[in-house]
Amino acid sequence: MAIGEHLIQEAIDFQSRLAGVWKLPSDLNEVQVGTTPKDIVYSEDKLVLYKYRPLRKKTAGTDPILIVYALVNRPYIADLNENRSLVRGLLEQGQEVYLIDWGYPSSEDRYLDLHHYIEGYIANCVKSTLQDSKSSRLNILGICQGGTMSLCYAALHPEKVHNIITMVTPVDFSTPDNLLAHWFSEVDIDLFVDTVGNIPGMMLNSMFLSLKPFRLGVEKYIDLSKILDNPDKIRNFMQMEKWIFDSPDQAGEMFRTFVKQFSQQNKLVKGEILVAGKRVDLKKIKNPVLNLYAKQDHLVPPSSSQALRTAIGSEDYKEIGYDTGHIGIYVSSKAGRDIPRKISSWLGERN
Amino acid sequence: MLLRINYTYSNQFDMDSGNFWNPQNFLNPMDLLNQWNSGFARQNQTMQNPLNQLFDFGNVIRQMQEALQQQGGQAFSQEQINELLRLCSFNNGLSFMPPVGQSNPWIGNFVQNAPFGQGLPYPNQGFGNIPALGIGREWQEDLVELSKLQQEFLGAYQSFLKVFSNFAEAVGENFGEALKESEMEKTGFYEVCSIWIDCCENEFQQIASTKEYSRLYGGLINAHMRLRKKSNEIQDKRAKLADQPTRNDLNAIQKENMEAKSRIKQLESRIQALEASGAQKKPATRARATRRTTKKPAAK
Repeated sequence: MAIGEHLIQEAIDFQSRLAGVWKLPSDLNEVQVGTTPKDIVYSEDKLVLYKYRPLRKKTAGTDPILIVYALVNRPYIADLNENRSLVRGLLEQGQEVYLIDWGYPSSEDRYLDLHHYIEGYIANCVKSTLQDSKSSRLNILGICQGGTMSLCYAALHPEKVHNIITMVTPVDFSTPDNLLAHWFSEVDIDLFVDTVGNIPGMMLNSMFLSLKPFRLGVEKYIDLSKILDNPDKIRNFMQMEKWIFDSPDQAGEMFRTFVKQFSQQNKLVKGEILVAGKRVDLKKIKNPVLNLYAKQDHLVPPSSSQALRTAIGSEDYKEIGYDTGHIGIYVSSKAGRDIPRKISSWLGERN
Repeated sequence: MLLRINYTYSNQFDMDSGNFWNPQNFLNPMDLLNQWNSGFARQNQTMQNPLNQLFDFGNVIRQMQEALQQQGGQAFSQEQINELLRLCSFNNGLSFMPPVGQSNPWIGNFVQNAPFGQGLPYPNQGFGNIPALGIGREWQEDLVELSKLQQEFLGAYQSFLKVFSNFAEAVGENFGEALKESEMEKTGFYEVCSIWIDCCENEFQQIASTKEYSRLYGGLINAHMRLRKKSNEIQDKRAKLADQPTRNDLNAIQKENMEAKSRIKQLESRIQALEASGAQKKPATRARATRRTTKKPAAK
């Protein structure tokens, strides 16, 4: 097979770029994330509830937004930097934004279970948010697993929630394109949790990356060489890299419950999840729901998110699919511009 | 770094070893192109299967195979057992994490005090049939059990590898076809890489989405967990002998701690509710207010 001369030149250029890594700024590892100013409103154990400082006057008549992020990875993906920030976008739309940071569970949190998160932490954050904002209801914005937990909370306490926004949220775990659920299907979760206790974040991270090992583990780093001469892009890359590998351990019992009952047994859509003895019936959700999903999501396939339409009791349901992946929905510039506007306008129509 | 960049380009981009960033280790462009010219399928051969490197089980397997070959398939040396135990049992997670047990005193203690002297016939099938005798009986039984679980794990791993037996070949074929379809004169460096990655990813996704894959994947993790659980039990026995806390002890404390925290939170909520109602109600109605707030405790 003949190889064109241009390929030789490109190979030389490629190597030159790699050699240029030495010229990169020395402070590149000092990655700053989550820089939008915020204040602590409430804390409990390792959890901290933040309120972001307004960037403009609050839109009249709007309820506060409480962002509930997943237990996997860190919530600052919602505020990665000035140009890629869902939080900042919402603030610029005049929304009042609160965010739950779950912290890093340690061995003392091994026995935290679903009811601790839903009826403990989330319930307390809702109460604090309502007190702080002097509101009687709030809008809950759940991201990924945080969306699943938000749905559980809203089904149990619909009176505290005005509108529900879910982003890349798994609802039906049994869809055939759900590779992660497919892999978990034969794993003995009881044995797993009994043996390892808290689930190391790095272990989960490896599993997530191995869903697309060549794209996420090889291609990404080959493409890195294209931007080595652009400090701004490198800085963005390093911020994403920091976030991807900043993986808290998972509380063992919560992991057991989530994988076994939500993923393996698909109990959420069956209405069989119990939280502190109370059944989570998604049909009790009559609140308006905005469901945002990513069309190329390899972790939460669209079919899993879109199942929300028929699972809930609400007649006010809207879904928007974005032509991006699970992470791109937070950080792609198009989604980044569009999503806060869409959320605000959707909320505005329901004030 | 679990996913090594050298999937693609042999060792020159091995980020683990630091070669990736070291210009002295770069091949000159002609050598690089010669490598390419012999086909990316050659790199596939070195890869064997992606999960081998992904999960780092390969280290365990390679060591076992090498040790067995060196010793005629009969036994392991003490050092090898030490290393195997470290790799199989004391890494965090499914061996995803860097080794952490190299200086773990329990491992050394375990191996040095095992009542079989140098070179345990550890994973040898015949070893499991030797009757356990004397003062070391309990340890021998534990080792037999560990040996069986290790065999089971190795079996699960070998079965798992088989799903990737045609991986390199299939990727090579698809890559060749894709290159034929592309116009090489116009196809650039990154496009060639991208084509190769597409071929790898597509083949991987086809394999990974089968029921057979999830059965083998689950089987592998379960076998590894059974092995690790047994290893934990052995560690705990040694810990108990040395009057050190075991996993069960620590778990019990953590559970008690969690329950105590929950009780404290409930009490704090009640106190807050009482204080709030006390501030609002007259003394004569305090008793009733107390009863009501008990039913509806406010969160902390």
